[in-house]
Amino acid sequence: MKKFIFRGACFAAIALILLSVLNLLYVRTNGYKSLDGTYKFRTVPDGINVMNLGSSHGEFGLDYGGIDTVTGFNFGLRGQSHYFDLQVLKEYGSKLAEGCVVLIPVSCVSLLQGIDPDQRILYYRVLAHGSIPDHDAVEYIRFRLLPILTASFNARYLIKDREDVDPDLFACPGADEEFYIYNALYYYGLFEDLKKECAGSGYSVGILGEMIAFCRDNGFKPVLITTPFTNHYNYWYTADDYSEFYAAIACLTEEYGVPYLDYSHDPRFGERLDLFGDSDHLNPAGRKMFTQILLADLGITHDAARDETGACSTGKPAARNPGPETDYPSSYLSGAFRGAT
Amino acid sequence: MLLNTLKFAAFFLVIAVTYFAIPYRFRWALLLAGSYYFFIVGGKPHYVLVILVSTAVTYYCGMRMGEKETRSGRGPFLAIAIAVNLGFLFFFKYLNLFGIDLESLLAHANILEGSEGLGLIVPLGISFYTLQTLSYLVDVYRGDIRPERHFGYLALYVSFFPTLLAGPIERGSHLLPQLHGHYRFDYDRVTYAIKLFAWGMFLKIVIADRLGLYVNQVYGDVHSYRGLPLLFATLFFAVQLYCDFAGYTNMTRACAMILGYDLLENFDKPYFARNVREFWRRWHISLTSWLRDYLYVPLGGNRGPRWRAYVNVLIVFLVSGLWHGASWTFVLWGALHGLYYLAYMAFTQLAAGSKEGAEERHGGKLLDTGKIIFTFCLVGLAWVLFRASSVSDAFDVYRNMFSFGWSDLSNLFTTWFEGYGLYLLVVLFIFIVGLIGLRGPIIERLGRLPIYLRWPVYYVFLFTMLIFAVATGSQFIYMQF
Repeated sequence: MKKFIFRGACFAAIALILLSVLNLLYVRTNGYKSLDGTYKFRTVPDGINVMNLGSSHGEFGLDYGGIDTVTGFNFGLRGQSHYFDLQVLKEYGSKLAEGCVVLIPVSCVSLLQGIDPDQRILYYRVLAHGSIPDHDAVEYIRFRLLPILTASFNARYLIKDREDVDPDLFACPGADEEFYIYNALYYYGLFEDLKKECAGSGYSVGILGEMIAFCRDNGFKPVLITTPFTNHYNYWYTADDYSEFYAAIACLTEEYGVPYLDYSHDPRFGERLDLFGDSDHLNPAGRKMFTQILLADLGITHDAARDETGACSTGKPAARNPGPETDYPSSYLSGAFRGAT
Repeated sequence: MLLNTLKFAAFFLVIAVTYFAIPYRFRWALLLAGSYYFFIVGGKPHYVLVILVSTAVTYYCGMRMGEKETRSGRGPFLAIAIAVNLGFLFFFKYLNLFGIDLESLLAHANILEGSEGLGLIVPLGISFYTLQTLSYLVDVYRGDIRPERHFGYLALYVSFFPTLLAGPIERGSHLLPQLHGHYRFDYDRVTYAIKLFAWGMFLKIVIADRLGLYVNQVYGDVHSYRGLPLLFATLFFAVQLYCDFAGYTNMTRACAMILGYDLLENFDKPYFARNVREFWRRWHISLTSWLRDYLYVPLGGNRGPRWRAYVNVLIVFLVSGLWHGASWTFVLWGALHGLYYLAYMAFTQLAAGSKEGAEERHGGKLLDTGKIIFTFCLVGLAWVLFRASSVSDAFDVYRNMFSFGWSDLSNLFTTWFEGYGLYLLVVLFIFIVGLIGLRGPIIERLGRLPIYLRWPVYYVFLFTMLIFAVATGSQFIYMQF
């Protein structure tokens, strides 16, 4: 028995050391760093004055490049539900400057979105494990402490660097209109499925309310936004689809006095397929333009961006859009951007 | 509680440490308590009554049979015990075959409370422990073994946790004497068992579950696929099923071995069989031998006219199919294997010119390889019925799996088996290991290497398992039976 225990302990100790070394090597590979978008959370800067939550719109939503007065960060991961928006907000609240604008992208889809089990486990790499629903010590070890255990065939990056690091999912160069039409149909199909799944379960308005209250309590400025969609995307959504969504948003805006900027039907984007990676997501050019417009609408930057794009003069947001200029004075957002041009 | 989970590892560690720490006379109680805990945690707690009643009836009838001198005196008790045990099996497993939804039946009779009911599934391991119980009863009836006088040991025999989920289907004559034995901790035995467990785990979580990803995708929606994907999915399922079940058997045998017990072997490189008869001597051996001893032989075996032997074979395979599940796919699977077997019997008898002991002659290596491939193809085709969700799905697979042309095959090579390459490598690995295994048990050969060669091999193996495992914690295929 002694021999067994001694040898077993030696074997386990060596195994643990080797595993730790292997893990250390793995987390340094470019393959791991670009694996699922979670690595960016290790580089969250301090003093953030624009925090962008949300799912893929949060992950790829804004491009802060070249805007010196803004310390912005996109906190979204693909398919991020509002539950995790809230947890991310709480976890990284200490990184936000006082008066930071917290952008909370909302849409018909996002309000129905629950917690995807495949996505849930990724948040072990992002959040304290107590914030993960049904958290589990083994999952914590596998996903947070020893990610080599979840590497599977990505372990090949230990030998050879990954070549297609950080591909832009929504770059979509050269897609024709047909692609956007079918893509919009595909997304609407997902929405329909989601509606069926969520029938009777209600919207996640409560979580949004909690986020807004958290922001208020900590001196941040929450803003609900709906990012631009192509007309092809909007085509499928019926008045009924939108009415429930807008009713839920209206509740929030009334109860909390939170601004809501709706670019979903913005004519500056709807027809411009060259600004979209697919029917729902902006491509790099669209992102750049949208960021400039949004920051200007928020009073964070001045309207030079609009002049550059030349799009802004054409109009205001769609009819349902409450419009930032009319409903919310720019003073609402001025705190975090003193000194901004 | 699945064997491939940390929960089981913790459970087994507690059992094993306590087992070697306590006096011999208390060990049966520990194992019995552990087995019942395993049963309760793994299934529905109230089903513990089913296994308890089954054990009590078996014990009582066994004891009464032991008191009787003649078979005629034992007969009624055997009949009662068989009726009760098979009654449970039929009630829980086979009612739905006749279109009776047991759950709604019980709900209608107000036996189930609440709208969600019990989520009724068959009691854990009922197909396996029922056969184990029947073999004990028949052996006592025949006078081959004495009835077990200690209720605790008999209860342990019926519910022994390593065999509970999916066998191997033990015999009273093999396991009961071992349960009475006294075993010390033995370094060589325990380390061998740990290696066996690790190999079983590797087969399950690295090979079977990996192949299962592809198989589930294709067989989950057979109508969306044609040609090669169906063919490959069937090939992969053949290997998945073997690795899943053989992996489970290795793990279960290893657990028992650590405690000192030697369970029956279930596999002997079945895909290297040269004919269907040989396949059934190598595949799920504990079930095949059970069917032979307790069904085929009592039916008359190969005694009497040739047609009678053929009918007996067909009955055995039909029962085997039905045992696997209350579904017509399994019945047809059994029937197909029965027909294979009959064709083989007829062929060999024709070739040998006599009925008795007709066996195929061994050919050269090339001929044997051809036979192995041919047998594998036959078995693989039958697995379609085993895996498909319905008979119509299975026939769709048969209809469409060969609808590919030379262009598809040449595309396969130009794209370097894109989409299949990884899985084919996995399959190749298993066949290479099988080939190496033909020269002798790999674990024993590995154990003879010096430590500085042996341990690096173990570490490579361990890290391969840790890194490449499919961490879905999926259950073993045979557990559903």
